[in-house]
Amino acid sequence: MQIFMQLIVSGLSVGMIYGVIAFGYQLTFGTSRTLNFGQGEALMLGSLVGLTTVNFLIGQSLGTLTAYLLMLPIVLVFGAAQGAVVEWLGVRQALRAKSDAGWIMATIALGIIFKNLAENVWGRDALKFPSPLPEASLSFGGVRIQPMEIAIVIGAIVLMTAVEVFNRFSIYGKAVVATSNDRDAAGLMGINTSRVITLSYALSSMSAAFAGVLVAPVTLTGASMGAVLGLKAFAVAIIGGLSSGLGVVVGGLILGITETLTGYYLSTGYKDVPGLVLLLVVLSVKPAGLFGKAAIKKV
Amino acid sequence: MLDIENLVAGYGKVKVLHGVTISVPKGQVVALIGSNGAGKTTTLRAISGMLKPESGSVRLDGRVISGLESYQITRLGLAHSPEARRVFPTLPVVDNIRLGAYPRLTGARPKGDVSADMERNFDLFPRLRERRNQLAGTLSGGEQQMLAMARALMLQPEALLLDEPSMGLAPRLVEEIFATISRLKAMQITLLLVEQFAAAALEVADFGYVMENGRIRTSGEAKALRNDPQVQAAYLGVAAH
Amino acid sequence: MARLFWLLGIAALVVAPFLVKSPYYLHLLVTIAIFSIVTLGLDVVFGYTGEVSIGHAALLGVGAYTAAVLSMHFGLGMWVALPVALVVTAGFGALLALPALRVTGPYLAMVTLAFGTIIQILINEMTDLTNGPLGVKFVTPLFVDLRPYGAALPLLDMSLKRMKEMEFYYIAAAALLVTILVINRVVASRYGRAFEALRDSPIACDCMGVSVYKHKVIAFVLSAALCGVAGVLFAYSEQYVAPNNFTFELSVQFLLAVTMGGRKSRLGPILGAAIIVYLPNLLADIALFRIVAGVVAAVALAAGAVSVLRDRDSWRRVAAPVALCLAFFAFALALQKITDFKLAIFGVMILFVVYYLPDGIVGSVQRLLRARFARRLAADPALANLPQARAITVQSSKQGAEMLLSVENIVMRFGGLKALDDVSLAVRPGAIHGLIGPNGSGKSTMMNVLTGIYVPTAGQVRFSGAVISGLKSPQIALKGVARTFQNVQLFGELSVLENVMVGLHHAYRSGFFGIVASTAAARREEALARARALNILRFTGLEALAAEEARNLPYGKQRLLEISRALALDPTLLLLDEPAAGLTAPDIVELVAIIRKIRDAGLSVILIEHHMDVVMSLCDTVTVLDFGQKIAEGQPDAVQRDPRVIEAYLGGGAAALAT
Repeated sequence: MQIFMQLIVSGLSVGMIYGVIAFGYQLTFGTSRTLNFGQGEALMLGSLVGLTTVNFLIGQSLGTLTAYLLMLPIVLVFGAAQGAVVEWLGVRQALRAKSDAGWIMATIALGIIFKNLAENVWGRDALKFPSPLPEASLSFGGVRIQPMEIAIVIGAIVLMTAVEVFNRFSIYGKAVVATSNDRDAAGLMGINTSRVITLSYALSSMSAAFAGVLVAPVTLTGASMGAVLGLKAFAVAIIGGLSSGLGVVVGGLILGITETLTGYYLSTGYKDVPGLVLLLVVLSVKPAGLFGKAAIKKV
Repeated sequence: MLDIENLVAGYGKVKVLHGVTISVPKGQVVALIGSNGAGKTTTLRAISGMLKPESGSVRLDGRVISGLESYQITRLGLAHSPEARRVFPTLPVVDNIRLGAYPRLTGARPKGDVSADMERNFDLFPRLRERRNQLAGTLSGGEQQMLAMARALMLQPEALLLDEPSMGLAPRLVEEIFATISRLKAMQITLLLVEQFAAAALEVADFGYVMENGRIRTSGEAKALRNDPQVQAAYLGVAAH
Repeated sequence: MARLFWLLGIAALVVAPFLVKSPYYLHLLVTIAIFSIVTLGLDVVFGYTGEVSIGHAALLGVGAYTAAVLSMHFGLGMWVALPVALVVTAGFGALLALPALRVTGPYLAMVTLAFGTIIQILINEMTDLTNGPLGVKFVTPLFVDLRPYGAALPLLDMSLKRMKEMEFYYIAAAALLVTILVINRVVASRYGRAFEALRDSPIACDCMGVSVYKHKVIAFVLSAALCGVAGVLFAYSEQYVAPNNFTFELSVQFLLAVTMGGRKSRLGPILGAAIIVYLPNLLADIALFRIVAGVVAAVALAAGAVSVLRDRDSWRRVAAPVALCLAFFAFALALQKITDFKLAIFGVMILFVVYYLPDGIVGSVQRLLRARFARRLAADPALANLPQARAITVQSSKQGAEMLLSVENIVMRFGGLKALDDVSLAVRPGAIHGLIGPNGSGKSTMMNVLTGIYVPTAGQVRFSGAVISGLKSPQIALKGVARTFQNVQLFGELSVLENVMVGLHHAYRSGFFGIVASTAAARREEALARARALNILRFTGLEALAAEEARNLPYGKQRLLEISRALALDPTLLLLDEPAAGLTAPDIVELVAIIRKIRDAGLSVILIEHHMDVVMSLCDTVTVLDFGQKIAEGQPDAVQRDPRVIEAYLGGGAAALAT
């Protein structure tokens, strides 16, 4: 029983990471009906840039925690910039041409390019990310959890709440929601919807980059860390429904916990399978997701 | 104030407007009527930038706006309440209205007193005040129409385009809407009103244009058009007696 | 012309191994052939049905590992592996198609990606079955031992190794030729048309009785079967396979091959396969890479200059890609070691192709030369006069008491909105029944209820006595109810003739294997269908445009094409949704004449229209809707003068105008 509880708790932090990446998918899908097939690479770049920054700051004789906190805004800005680049290079033209295959392949291509560049800059091996919090696990009633894992859960919730607050209380956030509801009508309000879409891509990559520096101290980081993450986060986004904020959190937790359970009871090699199978099953049965709403056909 | 000259526009292969010329003087209400498929909505979309015209020009207060993006045209002071309302369903009523003032709140237009304007709008549409925190998607058709109009008015526009405000509404609500439009007229607003219901539109307008197959068939003082048999012919295919 | 081209190609294939002495380059050719089989299959899914599939490397892996399992556990060789892998991989293709049925676009792409990843994991983990990451070794078989004849053919190298290589080359080349043949036949048949139709307009497809689901599955299964064959050949050619041969990156390279080579062609995917196989070689030799980059830059400059000379304004459009090519050349000059950047270069190539070469090399060349291998459209005159080829085959209207279509108390609710409120109407056989009403009155909703796009909340629809409300669109279509759409839903990339032929799908008897084998029955059916389609086009006056791509037609003709396509369904009832919308006056005259012809031939028609003159001149009866309710019904001139109708259209107080 204790092992079971342990697995659940371990699955929580992983689940929140999936949730944050999936949240990024929702942001861009909402405003533009597109998403970044290279979202996993956005996470990977964020974590590697964070690694270099943290190591540099530590080299300047700063404590690990201070270095980490100073690094955060830098990685967030980097993530936003990277997202804007993806939108400009990968999505904008395809949107104008109204071609799905166009932005799908373009964002895949950008992901491949980023991964290859990262391999050349940081090498192909897995790298250790210095942990800002003590690595010793805390124990709650026999269940062990690392302080960093708690930080992941808190960090993820803080990020998603911040964006929700922005959407709800600032006029710019409302402009984003308006664009998601009805792009043409939003234009009639004087909202520059192209810029809104670019912003949503910037926020999306920023979230992924943030997730990257959250998860890196707990696992290892490296050029190939993004590969399957993007796909599994998509599963979470689908399960949760591409328009429901709460859905991705629930979906992420479901997936995270299922994975740790599979990894233990079956084999670690099969750990990635449940997410992927879940994706296939949900898309076969209820494509709008558990929380989503089916659209009415208009002819 | 709003001058449209020889506007030609369409959707891809389909050319809908074949050279439309309309003039909306400042402070006047001009009605654009005609049966379905005549091109009235297309005209408004070509004016507000939702659709790029192929040729011809649109001027707002002397300044050429044809060819600009719709958000740019709005920021210059042209408000458009579109066909089928198109309110933002997941935002509450008060946010919908507030978004109408987006260019004022973000510096693209003179700010003025946004809160006072909101209150004035609620005076004009008391039913919206009752539902200020309700999600716009849950409003009835008539309430959404009022919301769309309030939203457009928040811009403090130089000119306002109203597209088929009566569409899909029960007759009693239509009366209410047109009563509101009369009040707007008393406020000296510059309004181009597209309507399928010729009678109501001509009742409230100063001047009218009758559109058929993408062209202006006839035009004149609203009072005169009301009794013009050509108007009925344009709608019901009845030969003018 | 095309035939000559192919003969030359086959000749080149036969002669190649004698010219290419180096075993390395011969192996390269074999790999190109094998990958071409994959890309040709991928073209069916991506080029024809328009779905992005990122799982084809995994399907290749399934084929290869089927061979591995048969070899390791059962000691069975290549000849057994080929048919077994074909069936097994086809099965996986069907499995992949299952979630793919309900989704499209990015969702489907993700499904294929997930599928591919699962396969890779399974191959890696099920070590008992597949030997996991260690991989599996193969021995290339020797099929025909020609060594005893070495004396008679002194020119050739008769070593065992060389013979194996050459024999395997011919096997792979033969497989490629068979693949081309199969794909040619499938694509030229009704399946090819169905694939394109479901991409261009799935709703129109369903309403023509062509099942979108079924054809998507067929496309995936065909594509997978080819991957299975390719996988076996790949295993025996490489002599070693491991799970990391079948990665996501390889799937993306296959996509790049099809896009860059040119979709919907045979040459395109082959060219693309050659590029992706040869590219690593190109990248290893930096001098060669620089030369190629230089050539590309020079070609881009020349093409850009030509384009600007022809049309001043185009410099803005060509500036970006030309600059990209020049920058790429500069990058090639600056680079020292490029194999490390192989994947990034692939990525850049994909971006380039997506934005500036969407038709691929083959497609762009075709457009540049303005040459199109003209689609066969001449029909056999002997067939054209057969009774089965008659344009309209409905028996003359039985002016009986029985109503053809009976709509009984239909209610249609969307959430809180009642789009149709207790509407009943009846259509007599041989009548033209008008349905009019202001915007939002429920006319289109009624149309969608009648054709099965919506299921009514209450009430029922009877057609020729049988209840059809609740049936799916393809079923209703096959019962004899055909429709056109308010927003034209043509199959844009198909020709006019092919659009009509899609409507004729329901009449075919021959199956998939009949088409692949090109049996006499299959060929006759196709010829008959072509003759009938031409007759239908003759009936509606579009015969001269038969070879044009539907999307290039002027708008008025597009509407007539929709009607022609609907006629191909052999309907008893034709539903026309605002056929006159957007038409010029002469087009409308033509339209009215054709609708009259249709009625005279025995069909019944329901006509939704706003053009009152059209309604008045054509309709026997008119039903008027307003706010989802029926407010008037009767003969056109009576309805026209009905004060309730005038009020509904013109607004209150306008009734006074009617006098």
